[in-house]
Amino acid sequence: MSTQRVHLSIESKLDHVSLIGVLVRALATQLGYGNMDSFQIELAVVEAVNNSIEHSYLGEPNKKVDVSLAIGEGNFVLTIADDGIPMPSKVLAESDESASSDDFPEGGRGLDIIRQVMDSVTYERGSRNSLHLIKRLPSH
Amino acid sequence: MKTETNRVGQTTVIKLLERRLGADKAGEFKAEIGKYVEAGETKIVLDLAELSFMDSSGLGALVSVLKMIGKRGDLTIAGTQATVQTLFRLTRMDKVFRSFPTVSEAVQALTPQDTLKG
Repeated sequence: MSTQRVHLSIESKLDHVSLIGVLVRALATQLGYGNMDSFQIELAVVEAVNNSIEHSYLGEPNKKVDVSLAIGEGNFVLTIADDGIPMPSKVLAESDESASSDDFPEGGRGLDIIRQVMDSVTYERGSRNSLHLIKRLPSH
Repeated sequence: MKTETNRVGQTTVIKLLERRLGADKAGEFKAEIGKYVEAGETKIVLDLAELSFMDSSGLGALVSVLKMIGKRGDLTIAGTQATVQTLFRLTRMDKVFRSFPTVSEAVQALTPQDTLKG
């Protein structure tokens, strides 16, 4: 079976992120993931889109965050793309835990969560910034 | 931000009547619960049973409320769904927040034992 794809796009506003989250969770459930995995996939995509809005676009509205979903070859691949400021290499290299001196930080946990719940996380800086998240499809 | 508040002895029980607590609502949540802390309510149970989704910004707002209370009191969590509870585990915040299946257990955890006996 060929890879199936769907593209979603929202404005860079935090109150639009749940639209992506709800759709991704519903699709994950439909693909056969359990309740816990479906929640965690939603969590990962929401954290990624929040990061695009808050860090790449610095909260500026009227920009675009694109999320494309691809299902094929045993994987569920979620790509979150924006045209804002690329994530610094330092952020990618370090775990959020070691990057913070505060025991109970109020932010900065997103990427650490994404790494824990997905099977693979890669980041690409090119004409756009793209974060690729891969979760193996549940076995049938 | 919809909430429902009850008082049980010295404890304020705040039930969050929202299905999601994400980055868009984190500030509003902090302000809403912060009002109780500023008013001197420092023993707080947060009933999160209605929540089907929370992200790290929502959790950050909870951390911020806990910091607001500081040494003056305490905060316990009640009723989180198993999915939402994993967010606490993934961020190691399960070591910071005491979480209970029911409101009555969460209230009891904030009630001194001699008060219960007396």
